[in-house]
Amino acid sequence: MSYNRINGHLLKKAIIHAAYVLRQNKKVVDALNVFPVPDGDTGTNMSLTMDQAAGELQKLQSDELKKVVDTAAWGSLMGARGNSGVILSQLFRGFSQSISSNKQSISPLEFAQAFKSGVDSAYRAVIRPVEGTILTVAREMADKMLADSRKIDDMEKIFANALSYGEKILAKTPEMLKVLKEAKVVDAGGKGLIFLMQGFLEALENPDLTESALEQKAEKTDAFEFRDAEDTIKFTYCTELFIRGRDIDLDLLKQELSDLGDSIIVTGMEGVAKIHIHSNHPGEVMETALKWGELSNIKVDNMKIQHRELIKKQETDVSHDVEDMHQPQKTEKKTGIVAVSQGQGLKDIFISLGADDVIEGGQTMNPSTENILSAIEKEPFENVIILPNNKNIIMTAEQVKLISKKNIYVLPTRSVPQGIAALLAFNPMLSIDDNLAGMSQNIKNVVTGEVTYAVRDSQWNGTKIKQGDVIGIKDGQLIVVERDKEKVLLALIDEMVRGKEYGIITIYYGQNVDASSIQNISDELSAKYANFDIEYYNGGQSLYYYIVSVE
Amino acid sequence: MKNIIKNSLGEIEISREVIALLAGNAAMECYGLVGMVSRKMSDGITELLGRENLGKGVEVQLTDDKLVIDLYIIVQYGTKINEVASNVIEKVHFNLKNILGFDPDKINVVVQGIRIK
Repeated sequence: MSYNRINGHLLKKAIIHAAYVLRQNKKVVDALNVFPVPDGDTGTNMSLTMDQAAGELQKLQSDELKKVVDTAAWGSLMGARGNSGVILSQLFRGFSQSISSNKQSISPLEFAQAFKSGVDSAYRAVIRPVEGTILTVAREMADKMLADSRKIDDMEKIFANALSYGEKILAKTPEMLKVLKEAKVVDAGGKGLIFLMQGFLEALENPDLTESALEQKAEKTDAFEFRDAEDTIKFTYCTELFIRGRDIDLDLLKQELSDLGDSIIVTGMEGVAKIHIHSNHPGEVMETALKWGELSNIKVDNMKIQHRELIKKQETDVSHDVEDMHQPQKTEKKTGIVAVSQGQGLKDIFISLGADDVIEGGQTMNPSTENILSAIEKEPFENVIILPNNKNIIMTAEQVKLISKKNIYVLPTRSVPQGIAALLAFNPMLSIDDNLAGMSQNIKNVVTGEVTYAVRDSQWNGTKIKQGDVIGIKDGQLIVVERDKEKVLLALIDEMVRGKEYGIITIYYGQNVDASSIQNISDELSAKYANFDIEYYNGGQSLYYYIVSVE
Repeated sequence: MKNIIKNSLGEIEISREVIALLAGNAAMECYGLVGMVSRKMSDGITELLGRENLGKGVEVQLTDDKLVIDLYIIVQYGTKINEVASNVIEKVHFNLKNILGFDPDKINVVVQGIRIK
């Protein structure tokens, strides 16, 4: 049958059937499960997730499209088990969010867009998407669907195309994820998704299936897939080799190999080609290769045996070499951070938050350009961000830019709390521009207060300040003058939290403050600002009794 | 101590930081976790930690007979939080057992925040 729209009734049926097909094949999927934890339950988890979605759909009286997708999203969320189950629920969630409530049916393009939105939502829920998993398979299928739906107006055809494309991608997952390659399996979650899609397609192809026919059809799938399950591997031998020769035509070589097996990868550079192929005739592979040049590094593995061993291994719960489960990651940090602060406590805080170096300096003891420069030159990084943490040092830091050959970025932090806030926004995985943007944003959210003493007599707004008076400064503005530093702190915080209902008050106390006075005010503060989290750190700075931040 | 492995030639001691980093890395591979939060500033500045600083979102309590690991995480709004957290526990347990040969007595996950986006 050919459609150009899918309505709620059909979608409901298709999801229920998809869940059914997956349930029948969950053991196949279980057997593939080596990532992230080889506990052989991916299929079971996915199936339980889908079962709940299907169960909720069966209970649903309405055939209204929006209700159907929302119910599926809700059911899969409630039923979500395991990593892949949670991913599935996100796919449904994104899908349902993309469907507006007045729609009665959707076109292939709308379907593809909804699927894509599901994929986006699944990707958003993870800081480090691991490629070569269900995520990859889903994304590629969604992209394929999107591309096709602009050309073809037949849901079934689009779906069939996406499915076969998805299978191709699935076959490539071992190339993307080392642990899969070593276990000689494709990704379990991806395989589960393929089963779901198969079920979905079956329901599209034959929407008139009654429930019992659905059962039968599904059982057939089951029997077939199970035979397949005993060895999901159609080709027994994984063959890899190098060819050394001149003028190797990689495309032609690939074509010659294409009849001999699947999972073919032919790569090469000048004078050398590498072949990877799954085949039942490794000898023929070598014969074909021999035509092009000299062979070396020949490796033939029996994947059936390896697969059996893998399953045995899983059953006896023998551990795998987990180090290899980690994908190679770019851990190289390209950006260094140099902060300026004063006092051992603050220095420790900066270092613990990821600063590479801390230059001693602050009010009345500005580091010289030379100080900053030498700190920067020590860094092994090309890019260095400077956090001056004082307005008088910003200028000095800017000078360094002119002298150093490195790429220097000065983030104009005017206080220690701003510096800390900026540092928290730093993510070595991001580009320097993104980092600078994020860090600058964080600086704006911080209110800084400083409690210090007057070094000489002066006057401010008609108030006389005597030498030795304690003064409270909020973002560079003098707020309060008192004799007692705790009183100043309290008044200052009062001013800083004005207009805020909740937040975080962080107090860095200096070297001239003893622990008992902290104890005294801490009780008072927690009683007074019940909605705020209050934190104390020994900053160890001189000059300032207290540095306070409110966020 | 629980972090010492003895063999006939001597002892291997694994520092807390290593344990924390391994646990943090394992957790990051879990789906649904969008970040880890510093435990140091735990109650306050809840900010995502970059990769470099993962260990800070992990607290390792180590005594003579116990190894307890606390992870401070942020998850995505709309995921099943208990499931994401139990995936994290499983994965961390698995990795520590396999890489270090340690069997943590307890792995606690503290969900410090949810990201809504």
